[in-house]
Amino acid sequence: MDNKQPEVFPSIQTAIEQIANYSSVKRVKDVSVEQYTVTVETEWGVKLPNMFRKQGISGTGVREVETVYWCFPLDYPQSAPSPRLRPDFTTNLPHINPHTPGELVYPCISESSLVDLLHSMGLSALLDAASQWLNNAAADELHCPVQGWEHMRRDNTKGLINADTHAIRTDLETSTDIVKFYNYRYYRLESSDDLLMGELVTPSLGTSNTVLKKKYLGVDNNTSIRNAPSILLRTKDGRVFDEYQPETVHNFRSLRGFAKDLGLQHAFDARLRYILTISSPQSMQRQNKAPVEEFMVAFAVKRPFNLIGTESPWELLAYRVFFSLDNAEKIPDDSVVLPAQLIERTCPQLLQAVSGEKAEKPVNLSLLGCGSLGSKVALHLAKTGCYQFELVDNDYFGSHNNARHGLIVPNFSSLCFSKSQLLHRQLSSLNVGSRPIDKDIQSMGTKTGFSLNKKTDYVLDTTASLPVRYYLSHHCDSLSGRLIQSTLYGKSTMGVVALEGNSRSVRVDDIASFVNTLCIGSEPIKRAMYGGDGPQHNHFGEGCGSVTTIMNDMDISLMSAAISSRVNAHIKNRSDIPEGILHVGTIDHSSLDMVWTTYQIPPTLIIPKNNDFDWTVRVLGSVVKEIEELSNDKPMLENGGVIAGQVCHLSKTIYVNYLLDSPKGSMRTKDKFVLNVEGLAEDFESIHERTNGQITFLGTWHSHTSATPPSTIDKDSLKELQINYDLPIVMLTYTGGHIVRVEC
Amino acid sequence: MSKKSTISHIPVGNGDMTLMKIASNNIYHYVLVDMHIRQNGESDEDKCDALAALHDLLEKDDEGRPYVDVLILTHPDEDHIRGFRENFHQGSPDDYVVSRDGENDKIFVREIWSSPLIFRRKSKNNSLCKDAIAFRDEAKRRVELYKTEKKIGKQGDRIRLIGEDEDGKTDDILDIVYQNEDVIDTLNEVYINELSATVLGPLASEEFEDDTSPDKNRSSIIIQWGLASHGYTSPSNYILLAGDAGVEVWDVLWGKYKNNTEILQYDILLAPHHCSWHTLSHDSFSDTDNPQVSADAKSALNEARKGAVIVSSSNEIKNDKSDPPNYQAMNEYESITDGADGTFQCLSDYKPSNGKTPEVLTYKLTNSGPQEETKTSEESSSTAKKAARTAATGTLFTGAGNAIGHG
Repeated sequence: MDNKQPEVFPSIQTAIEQIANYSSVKRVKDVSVEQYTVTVETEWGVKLPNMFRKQGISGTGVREVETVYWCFPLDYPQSAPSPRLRPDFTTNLPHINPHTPGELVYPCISESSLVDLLHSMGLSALLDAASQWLNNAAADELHCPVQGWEHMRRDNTKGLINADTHAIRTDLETSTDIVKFYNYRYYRLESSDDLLMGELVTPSLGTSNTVLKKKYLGVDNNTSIRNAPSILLRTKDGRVFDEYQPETVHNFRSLRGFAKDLGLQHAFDARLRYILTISSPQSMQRQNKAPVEEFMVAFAVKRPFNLIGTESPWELLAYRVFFSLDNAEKIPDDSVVLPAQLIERTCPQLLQAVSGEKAEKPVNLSLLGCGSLGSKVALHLAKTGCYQFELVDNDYFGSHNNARHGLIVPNFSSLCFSKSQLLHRQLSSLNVGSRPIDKDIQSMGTKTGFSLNKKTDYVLDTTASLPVRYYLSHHCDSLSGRLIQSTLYGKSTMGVVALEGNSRSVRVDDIASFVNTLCIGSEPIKRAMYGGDGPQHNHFGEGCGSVTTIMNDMDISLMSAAISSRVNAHIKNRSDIPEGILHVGTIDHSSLDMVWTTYQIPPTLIIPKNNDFDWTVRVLGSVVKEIEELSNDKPMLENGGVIAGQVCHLSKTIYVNYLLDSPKGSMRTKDKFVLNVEGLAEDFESIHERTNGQITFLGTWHSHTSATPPSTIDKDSLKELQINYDLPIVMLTYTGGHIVRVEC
Repeated sequence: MSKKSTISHIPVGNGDMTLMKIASNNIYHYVLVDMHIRQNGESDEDKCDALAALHDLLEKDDEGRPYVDVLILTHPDEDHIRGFRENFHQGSPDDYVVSRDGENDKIFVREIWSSPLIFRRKSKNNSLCKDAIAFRDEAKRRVELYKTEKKIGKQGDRIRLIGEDEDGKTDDILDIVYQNEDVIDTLNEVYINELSATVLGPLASEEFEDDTSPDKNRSSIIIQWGLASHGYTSPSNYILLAGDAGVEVWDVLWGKYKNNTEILQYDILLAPHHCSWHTLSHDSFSDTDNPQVSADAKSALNEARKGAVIVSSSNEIKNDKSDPPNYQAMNEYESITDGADGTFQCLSDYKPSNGKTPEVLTYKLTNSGPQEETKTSEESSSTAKKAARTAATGTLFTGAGNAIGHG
């Protein structure tokens, strides 16, 4: 070090020693202590690309030895030091912080904040980052197509303009028009020109001058919002501007010069004349309208690769241009022009980008039920940016819903709106498309009810309503999308996602009946569904119709997030497999251990009712498969066993969803299967207890070794079984590769 | 931080070991050209631990295996394949077993590029060391698998041959043979936007005047590697790797390409045969009064681009008659680099940390050509280095340091 060290804090002194010993540092030239900072001046060795080593300076103007100043705040290491470069360091490079000419240049050396980097990896990480930055600057590697084109550095933007930049960029990709007009709405926060909030209204008005109409321009008397014109000029096809330079526009002359550099001067001049003709203060006054102060000129400049944070090579640069109060036909060359910052509006594309999701076109999802689970699932899915919704629920939002619902509805004016309307309003804030339908779900498809969009991809039922399930299963013949049903059990200790098979080959009622069988082997599922620890209810408001489940928001949110993730994963994979899918998740709320199991359920075998037997028998695909395997295991012997399942008296449907092993002692021969019934009663006692009586004895099955129809013995056995049993009995025979029901 | 392509020259004395780390589509593709790894127990403080250096540069795959996407053996001399048997997985990918401690597991080779020399029978001119035999057996296993399956297999079973076998043994597998002047843009069945590698050798024996059975130094794989910076397509870096290609090869190449010299241009040339005099001259350096440089060979090696570096992967070059490396050959190369504002670098002398041991010389492959890489603090700290290596990317600021959470 050249000079005697001034007094600095020990922590900074230690840091200075670390800098002095850093491999790229040739020497510490000076340490200066100011009121708020300690600045350490260093000679820093830069590795130039081989082709520039002889000259000692790179093609981008970086020298073999650069002066790097490290500015330490006095509260270091609470705050991080930051590097500065000589004032004449080239600023025509990306990744430089806003800069005032004549001052030290502040390189942007890290994507994360310097203080995070310091506290994560120490001072050496900052030194490494500075070293990498300088080496990359020397090799013209600060721009990286993989990371994206750095937005133009604009050191002096004034005004924040909200705009759907995704829509504008999409328009640029599809249209070759050089000019587009937009409405530009703005509100001045103070009398100063600097503080301004604005909006570039999409879609564009169009390209011809006639679309810009006088009637749209002026000042809104109630809100003082100005409605002004805006033009967007895009660079011509085939031209790519690959030279990075910071903002140069500061007055009208430089704006016009920039338009010329972009090859747009002619269009700029021509359209400017029209804007002045219809919207200059003088023109507005002639129409007895309060004048607007400014208008907007924006350029869309094509870069060689996508801009950082976007999937488009179009850089959008907006400028606020002020009308002249003296000259209606001209803007003076030295009139101030202010670069304005376009703020990306929340939109599905932005949501996709941030959440890491991707959808070429949105998935149309009809949500049945906008309660606690439905609202949370809808919001989770909406925030991926990949969905648009129909929201069906005719229930109204009550104050108590705020305890668990995805929405927070704060005031009198919003309470008592339907949940579907309120959820629609919330999704609109994300600019995610949705249609509220505050109708009874069971009126779907009726004349007085409603119809879902024919383009619906999925219908998601989150109502946990047995009548809705009944309706969807038995009375809803033409669902426009694949049906998913999601339900919580046991104070959200269990979640179910049931996805119907293709063309309803497996229905949600089949899957729901299967879920009951899981209680037999799983204690957590049994406890959640029938464990006596189920939801407590209470009344909020007057009348017994205001009953609701007692459960806190955290518990329901944990499971609803997992359910949303399951639903999203399915839809993203777009699996068109014929099977139904069931996901069952359980969570231990004390340890928060969550376990999910997935079941693939083959198409259901439907045995229709007939004149003699008015029950439809639905044999679950997994049971069909098991009977086939047991029958074909030893094809020269008859085999058989006991079938169990659920009976729905309302729909007259029998769900065969469980097989019991035939008890020991059953006899298998070439032409006979004799079932030993010993112990069966005890088995069913246990099954009834575990499933709350839902899974019960249904009958028997057996195989034939040849393709013969049910025999007289079969029929007699069935008659015997039916005596003294108050439920319908089903006897199935596997014969000739098929399962048939034995009829008396 | 976005990934950057690099080339690393590992100092192994008289031998070659070059690792290219090619960044494309935000992942690295590793190409190892030759190796010279001393056996366990041969520790020498003055020599770089090539195996450790290689492991430091590589990543592990999802199954915990350190891997290279492509292993290229330019020719089967021991100083180009030493260490293969002990340190690289051979046999079916299914038989790979990750060791418990995870340290220096065998390196999994996703795809092999080999010359057709593997088909040649053992002869006086074609004796193979144990490592070369192991490599040949592994390459043959992969070729046989391709013949049986009639399709390119999974990673770990893949092979490409550089050049046709003169006895017709590649006639039925031409789909996996790259021919001279083919431009390769694929590594391990992955298209690499940034890559255009031109095959220049091995040359067929009829291309040589004497048309004799070629020795191994005539049969080296020669590739001009054109590499663009990550995300770009036009190459801005040219690397010429030619194994031990001797003077006859360079004479022929000059004859073929003197009117199309771009194909011979380089920013980095690995001086063939460890800076041997026999790369440049037909005369014996020690037995000839006035050994002459072949004008054609030197012309072929003279296509240095601005700032080019000629790297000698060799022992220290002493001012005596030893060969390789040969002092006079170095002078010839320096005359080339001087004319291009470039440098000549013997790897045995590359000691930027001023220690006794030569260090790995790494160049970033940038938009402005190769740029020597600065050692970061991470690289100079062994614990941080381990953490970075186990992280998938190996880039700066990942895998080491306190986790930065999110709100």
